[in-house]
Amino acid sequence: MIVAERKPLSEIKQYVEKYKKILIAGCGTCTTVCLAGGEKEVGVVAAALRIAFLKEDREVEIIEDCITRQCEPEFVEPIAEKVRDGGIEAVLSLGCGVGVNFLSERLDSVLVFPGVNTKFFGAAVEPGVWVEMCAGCGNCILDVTGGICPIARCSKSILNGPCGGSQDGKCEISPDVDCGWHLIVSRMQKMGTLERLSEFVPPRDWSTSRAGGPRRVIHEGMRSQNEGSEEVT
Amino acid sequence: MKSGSKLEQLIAAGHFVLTSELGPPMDCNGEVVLEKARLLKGCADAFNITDNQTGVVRLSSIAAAELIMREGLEPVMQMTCRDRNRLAIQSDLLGAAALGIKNCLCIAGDHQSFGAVGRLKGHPGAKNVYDVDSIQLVAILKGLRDDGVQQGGDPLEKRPALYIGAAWTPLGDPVEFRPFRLKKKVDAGADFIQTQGVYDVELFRQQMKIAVDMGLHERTAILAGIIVPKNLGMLKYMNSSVAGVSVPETLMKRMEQARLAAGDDKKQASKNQAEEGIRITVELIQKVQEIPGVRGVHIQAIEWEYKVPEIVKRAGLYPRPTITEKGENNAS
Amino acid sequence: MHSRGPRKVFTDNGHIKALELKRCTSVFDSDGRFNPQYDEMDTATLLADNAIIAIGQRGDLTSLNGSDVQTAPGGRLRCNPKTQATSRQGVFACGEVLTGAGSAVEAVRDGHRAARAIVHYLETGDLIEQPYDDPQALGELPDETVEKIVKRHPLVLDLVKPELRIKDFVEIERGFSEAEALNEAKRCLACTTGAFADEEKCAACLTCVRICPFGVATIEKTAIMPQEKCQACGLCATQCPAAAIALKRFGTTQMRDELRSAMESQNTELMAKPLIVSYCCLFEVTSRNWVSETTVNCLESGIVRVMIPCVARLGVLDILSPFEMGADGVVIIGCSSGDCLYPTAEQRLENTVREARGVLGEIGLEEEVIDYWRTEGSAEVSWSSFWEISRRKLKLMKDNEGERANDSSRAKTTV
Repeated sequence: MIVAERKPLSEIKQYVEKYKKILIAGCGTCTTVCLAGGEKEVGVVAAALRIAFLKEDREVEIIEDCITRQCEPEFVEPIAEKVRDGGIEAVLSLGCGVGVNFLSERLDSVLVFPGVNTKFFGAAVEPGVWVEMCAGCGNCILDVTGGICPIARCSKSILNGPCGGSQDGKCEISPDVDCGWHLIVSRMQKMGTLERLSEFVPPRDWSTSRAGGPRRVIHEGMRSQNEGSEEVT
Repeated sequence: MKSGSKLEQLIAAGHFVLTSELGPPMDCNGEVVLEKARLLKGCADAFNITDNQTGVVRLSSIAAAELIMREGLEPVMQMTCRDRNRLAIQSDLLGAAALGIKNCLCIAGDHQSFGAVGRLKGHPGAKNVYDVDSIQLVAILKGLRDDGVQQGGDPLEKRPALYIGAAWTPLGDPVEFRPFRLKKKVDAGADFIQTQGVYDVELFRQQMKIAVDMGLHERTAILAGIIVPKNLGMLKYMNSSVAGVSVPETLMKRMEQARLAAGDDKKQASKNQAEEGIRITVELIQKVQEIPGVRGVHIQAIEWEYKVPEIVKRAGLYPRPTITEKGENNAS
Repeated sequence: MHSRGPRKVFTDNGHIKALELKRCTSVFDSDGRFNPQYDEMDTATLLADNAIIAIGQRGDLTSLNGSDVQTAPGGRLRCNPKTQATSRQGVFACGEVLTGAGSAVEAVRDGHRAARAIVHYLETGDLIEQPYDDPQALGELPDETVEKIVKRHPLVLDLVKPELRIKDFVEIERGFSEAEALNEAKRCLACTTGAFADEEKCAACLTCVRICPFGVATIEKTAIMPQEKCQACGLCATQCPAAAIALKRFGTTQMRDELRSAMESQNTELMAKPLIVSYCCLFEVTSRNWVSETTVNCLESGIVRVMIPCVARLGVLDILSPFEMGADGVVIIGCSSGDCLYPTAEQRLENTVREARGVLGEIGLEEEVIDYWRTEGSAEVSWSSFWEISRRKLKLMKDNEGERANDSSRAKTTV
């Protein structure tokens, strides 16, 4: 899941304070689950802004909405329409960065502001605590490292770890951060496959990751249907 | 000879070699480097020039290495993976070789978050690189030198003759995996190894035994790292906060006694501790010298370089051996 | 009416007017048999317009003798259970006269059925078949849930001692005082009044599962809170990030609705300032009268009170809403420390209060405008002083703020 965290309200207020009619758009998927941008959070942000504007004796209309996912045209289009037709001057998206992009592309003359900081792909290791577990690097090597990702979970993303900074299972950058390579070694030891780590892993091809520029994924089966229908019309 | 460096020659000739460390300043004052060089000249066989150590911007390792060569010292240029991608790394390696630098220590480098410590702000917000890791860096350098190919596959005509070093933290966690990681470095092409600071000689001996049983001591020259302790606070800090360093209780007690002996006299206390620190260092050097497979020592006197000559002399490692034009040596 | 028996019914034109009662002098005879004796001279009169004979153990069907309504053995009526119709057209029946001794719940149900049957018959002239919808029995409350429920033992009242009882007819069981009754009511497990999730909205985020102090909520594609287990504490509804959980007994928006109606019923302009919204735990009140008595004067006190069965079900939004409506402060009064019916609820509320204060801080408001008190003794004992302390604090803050505003405007004019 994409993990995000609500931006400080002071920052959010700065974005939107010059507008008279604002839409706060929540997202019902990832940011709802990580408690950053669901319907409830939309309500809290809206209330906070209303209180702030009330204190300044300013009349600002704040509209609340929360859609299933902000990363699908079918879900986003109705809300974009609502913005265009409703005279809304600014949108605050509580979806991840994808949502902000996606809404922005559909709104020519209305600014879309980010209400959350999009952090990482992670898992809830305990209630209220999320940890990064995947870096989305585009070429998964988890087969080599016992299912634990050195790219996401090692501070240096090294492939032939652990480096000399591992202490008591923790990373050199903080005692709160597990050493990813310590996890890998422990797991491989348990699985009896430690000898695999003796093999040298050569420099990897980062072109599948962000280093290769903006990426895209195409599912041919789904795509050809769309193309076919386009040809007909 | 792979590089023809003095370090390589002395190791090849079977000498117990000695390297030390020289930290460049945080500005462009090359004179500071030269001064340190003059001070340390003749006290070690080669001198590591740190590369933005602990994530703090300092005069570059390559430039400082070139500076000390002017004073007749042999540098071990350090190259971290933190600050450069494989393009910059290879470019710098080629440049260093062109300047006549002959030794290179390949390391990952401390995380940039280390830079903000004490009064220093560092650059904790920097974007790190880690395009390749230290073992991959060793392999890249070996590829350039021995196979004449860049990592990407393009050939090079004149190959950089660099003696390849790597670091080893024998007592780092997970400790049982450390000998295997050393083997990976050796397999990748590390000609020599400088270890993390050793205080617990017994534990180090155990790890060395495993390395020796694997035959690694014959394929690479392992130099035991010795970090000169200044006082009790430093020992405690290293024990608790520096990964892979464990300081035995007895050493801490000795340092504490040295401090207590001075009573309330703070100046005397620090003097006593400094003396005890040097005594400990000398003892450590002598002890690791006896461990099978150890081919030399790497002395780190952090911001305390001027003590190195005294340490080397008291350890009976002075004067250092020299080598003739032909590359043969004159043992002292 | 204690210790009296009926003596005579007064009627006027066929309508009942009153009942004359005579005093009972003894209930049992010397053999210990039920054999009441009366003093015919000691009478009392009770005005009434109807008299229902509610004595005896079975129906008295003598009035049906000779009619078309068929009876069944055991003093019961014959009746089609599907239509509630007796053997005589236009006569319907319900209750224990059909079934024999049963539960009051069933009797009430059959009353409803008979009423529907009669309406249908009167409107169409036809009988209507009403299938019994098999009421789904609630499952057992599992032990692992029972373990988590705070045990509250029933209050056992002492009966009047036998040596005193024989002397008079005074009730031997004195019954609960209001405070005791309210306290007893807390033992209600609130079966079937708990949480349920809107499948459309539920993101299966597991927040309810993680928060439920009774281990009741689970996820099967979406959230499920089995009715027999849910204790209706409302913590999951408060925390649900998708606003997908509602409560049957006390709706998710009820707090805000109550607040809104409370605020709208008053002219907030006329109310004393600082204007305070106080969310109070209903469970801490020992007298309902006190609640209504103290409601009246909110114009003077400036305190609008919203009573909630457990204030831990307040969400951040509930705490913020009053400020949107113009309140100067929010005062939350929960139960005394460690006394909550719901495990973890106090901690949750503390977190919610901290979060709400954080939100106010982020938009540049004083965090001290939110107070959280814990009841000491009872509502009657401690709440008024809490309100007064908070009111004074908020007044001081408001006065200071006013002064600062004045100073700055003065400063501006001098410039």
